[in-house]
Amino acid sequence: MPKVTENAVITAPAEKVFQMFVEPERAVMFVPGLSRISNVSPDKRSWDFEFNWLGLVVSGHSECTASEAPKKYQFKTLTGNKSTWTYRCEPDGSKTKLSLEVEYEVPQQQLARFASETVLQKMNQNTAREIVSHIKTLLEP
Amino acid sequence: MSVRFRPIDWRRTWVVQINSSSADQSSSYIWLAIQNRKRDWAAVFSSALNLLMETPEVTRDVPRDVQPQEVRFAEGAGRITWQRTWFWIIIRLQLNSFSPKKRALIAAALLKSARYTD
Repeated sequence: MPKVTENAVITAPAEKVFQMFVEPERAVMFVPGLSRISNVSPDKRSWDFEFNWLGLVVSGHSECTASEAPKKYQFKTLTGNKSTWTYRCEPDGSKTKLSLEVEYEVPQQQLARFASETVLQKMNQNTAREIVSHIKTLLEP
Repeated sequence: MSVRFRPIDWRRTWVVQINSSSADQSSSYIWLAIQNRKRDWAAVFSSALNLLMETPEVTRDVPRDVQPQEVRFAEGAGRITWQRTWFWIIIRLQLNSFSPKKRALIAAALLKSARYTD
């Protein structure tokens, strides 16, 4: 599967950075286009998501596959075009190196209609960059 | 995964930004929300602020029919007030702290919450 990766150094302890991921609903605050997280299971290991772009609504289901505080948090989107999102936090003194890796299936039918694989890769790269940048902005003063 | 075109989503609250201004140290925003159902705005904004890792302070001692209602955060450097009229609600956000980028991101996150929180 193709993948994109983004990194940032955040002036905050790894424990605080990791807190951004453990509440699934929090993703709405920093993921562009994500409008709703619902049906979160009591153990916070599965949830439904909904993106909204000017009336175009994309919804699906996700499950957390790894939560190793404060180092690694991973979840998978299980419906439609599958993807795996992995956040890694490496303590670096009073700072944290955050990396986000997104592996995704290339949707062949949609691809033919909407975009080339390169364009899709660029869109995913930009989204990952925005997410990491938003997390950094929210956690720093 | 489902893909639908939903230009009208009754779960959504129609909120539009009608004014915003930003200076070196502060930003302010005014939004207009069409009131299609009763909402607990204090709960909507408090929940969003918790997700933003801020501590909301709701003015609980003010009766609900007294206008405007408000939520403060960031030790008073952030303030959201809302005032009901007959048909719409005017929401004001004032941010007197944080970097310009963070102020814009907080405003965008709160606006998203106002639109999509059930």
